[in-house]
Amino acid sequence: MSEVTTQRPHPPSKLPKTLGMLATLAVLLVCIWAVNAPWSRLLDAPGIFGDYLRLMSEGVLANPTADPHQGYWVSALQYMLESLQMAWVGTMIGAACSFPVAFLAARTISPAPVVAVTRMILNVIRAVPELIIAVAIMMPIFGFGPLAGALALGVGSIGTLGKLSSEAIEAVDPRPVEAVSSTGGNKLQVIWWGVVPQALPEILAFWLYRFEINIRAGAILGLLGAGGIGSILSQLFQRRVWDRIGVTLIVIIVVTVIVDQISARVRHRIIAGPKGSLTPGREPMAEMG
Amino acid sequence: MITFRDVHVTYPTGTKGLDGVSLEISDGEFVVVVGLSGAGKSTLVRAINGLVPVTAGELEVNGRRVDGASKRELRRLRGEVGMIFQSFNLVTRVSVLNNVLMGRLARTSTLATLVGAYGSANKDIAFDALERVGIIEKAYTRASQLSGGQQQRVAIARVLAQQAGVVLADEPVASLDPPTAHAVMSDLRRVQRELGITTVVNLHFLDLARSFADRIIGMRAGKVVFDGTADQADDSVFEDIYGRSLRADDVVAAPPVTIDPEDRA
Amino acid sequence: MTATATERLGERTPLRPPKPAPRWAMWAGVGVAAIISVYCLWAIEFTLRPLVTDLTNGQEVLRQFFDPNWAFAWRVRDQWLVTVEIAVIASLIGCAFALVLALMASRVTAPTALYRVMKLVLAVQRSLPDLAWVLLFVTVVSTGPLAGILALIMFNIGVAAKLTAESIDAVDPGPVEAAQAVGANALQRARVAVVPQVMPSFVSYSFYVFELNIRASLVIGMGGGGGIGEVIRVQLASFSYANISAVVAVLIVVVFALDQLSRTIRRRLI
Repeated sequence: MSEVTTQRPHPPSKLPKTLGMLATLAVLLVCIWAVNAPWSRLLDAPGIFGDYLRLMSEGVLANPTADPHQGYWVSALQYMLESLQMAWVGTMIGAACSFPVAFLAARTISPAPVVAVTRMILNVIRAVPELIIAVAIMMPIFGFGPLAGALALGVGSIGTLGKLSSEAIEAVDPRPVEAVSSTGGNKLQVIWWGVVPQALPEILAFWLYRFEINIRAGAILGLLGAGGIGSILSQLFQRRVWDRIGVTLIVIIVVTVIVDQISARVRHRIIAGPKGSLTPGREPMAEMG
Repeated sequence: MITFRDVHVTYPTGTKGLDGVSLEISDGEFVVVVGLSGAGKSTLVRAINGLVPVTAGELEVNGRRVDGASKRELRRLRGEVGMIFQSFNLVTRVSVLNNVLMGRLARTSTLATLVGAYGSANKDIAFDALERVGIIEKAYTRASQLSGGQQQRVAIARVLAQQAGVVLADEPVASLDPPTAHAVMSDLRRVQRELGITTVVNLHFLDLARSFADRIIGMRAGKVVFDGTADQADDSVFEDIYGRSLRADDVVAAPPVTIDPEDRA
Repeated sequence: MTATATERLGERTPLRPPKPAPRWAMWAGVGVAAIISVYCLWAIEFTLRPLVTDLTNGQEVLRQFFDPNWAFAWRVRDQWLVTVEIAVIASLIGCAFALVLALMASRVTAPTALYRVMKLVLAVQRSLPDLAWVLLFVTVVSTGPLAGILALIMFNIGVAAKLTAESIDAVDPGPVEAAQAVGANALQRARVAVVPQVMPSFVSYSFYVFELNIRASLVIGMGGGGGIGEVIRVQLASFSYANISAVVAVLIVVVFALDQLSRTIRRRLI
């Protein structure tokens, strides 16, 4: 027995791991103490939440063809539709502007100074919240309503779409590109015939994914008066009309889940082809906030 | 003791894996199963621990019925039957020791597993197993840092930690270069002899099969077409099993680098 | 025999491959996208005319934005701290929940019925925008950081659980099979064979979620969830754009710094 133990290697120190865990826990505890939130309210929260949930479900389960609930459903759907329209137009603007910009930001296509400047501009756009773009630029010029919201989402989308698209362009297989250049094509032809066909599926998938995100991001713009579901949501919560809130939330959930599912199918189909399968393990979408 | 009585395995796709196999493998035997890919070797091995469900017939391992066993019964059976894979199937991001401790899972409570507290008795068993395959000094190394041959030795240690009476190996050396393949097979054979473990190994290299097996079982199209000692299995028998003449890639064709005196015998 | 063969070959030269079937799906997709685009542009009355006619309208706002009141950004330092604290609590707790839910939402670690249900639950949970969560929790626990924390936890679970579940779907099945072969039960397989494999991605996602939480602090505060966004809400109501721009500029710098920091830590850990 003792013979065996002497041959065993020494276990590595567990100190760094333990210290890391303790430090994380300490940070969490300090934050919980410092944030000074009324934690005791958590005790009552489930009960209150349950009551509200019951009130909401009464609205959802009420006869949807009778007044006033029919009106709730119709107006919720109209606002949601406006959210979708804003998100779609915003994505269109983002896609149209980011597509040429992505080539300027790709190291394999453009000279280094151009890449550096383009990337910096994209980073700045990415950093500014859509909320601020709407308040500072779009709403003073375009007034209240979905147009200002769509434009704010559009400008916001340029940042992430430009960055991700340029990465997709850099990642294309260089051999077909070489083949096109070797036939004597000029730069534009090389890009059009050698690069675009390879990068386009992935870029299209980014556009669709950004559309999904823009649906959600548009909500806060509505709070400011830029149209869409967000504009009605905050009013409803202020007035605490729970049956109507229930109807509105269900509309948001159902429409969003359906759009997400369709978008995910289309993305998968675009990237994998009719019969192909996706190679798992890569999730560039994670970078799109 | 492993007993097949007219065992059939049909996959959901309709493919026949096993087609009426009847076999008896006695305790402590080292059986090598040969055949072309798709002949049902892998299905035969995976049926023994229930990874592939038997669709008809009876299959018994150490007195336990495999066909029709409940999930719990299957887990208990698998705890006593070790398995070695072609691609080693180690968790490469954790230490060698933790990989070997996996062999103790069936005898460790779920709660203890979740917090990673295996206890000193289990650790002793794991170190013992590592010592037997000669890589105890790597116990705290990440599995990803080992060579292929070392990884397969860890997999053997994982099986030893199970203290299994039966070991199954599905193409254990197909991912290794010839000298390493010989060395790993010798290790497996030595450990098997020392502990008297019943072992069923799939191989497609006939020279390895001949030099290590007590008994060779040949399979074609889900049926057993040869069952005899290693000496009886000459080239003509293999040509019969394979249904074609032998080729250069049917053998490892490299001399073993180290030969254990026991293996010569 | 040979003569006929050559003749046939001769007939067919030059050998052209059969014309590929027209890509109906692609053209249908392009057509649908075009119709939706025209409809949406029409529906929101898209026009760029105000850029010509009303460009000057925005000048006053923009002028204030480009003259940030830096002193203000420092004056609200307590609210900055609250924002960071909210983000730390919400990301740690949210990601811990997310890991468990992700294990229940993958076909690798959960029985078919469970993972189907959990995938749906997560899809529903993710469909609500962060604003909706804040508004909801404000009514339950009233305004302040607690509502913000709860809303962000829900938001984080949505993001982190989805990404982690996808990573779990893509783990190497070999070790899972090995765990199955030693007689491990489902929980043991998840703990021993799956969690170590997804840990690097999970840690990455957690840092990413933390960064998202700092970014989302504007929305959270605007909805009544406390932190720096609450400052923005008050300043917006009084049209103090110089104050807002200072806060936003600092926020951008903070997000950028956190991005660099989390990248360094991630590289160390993995």
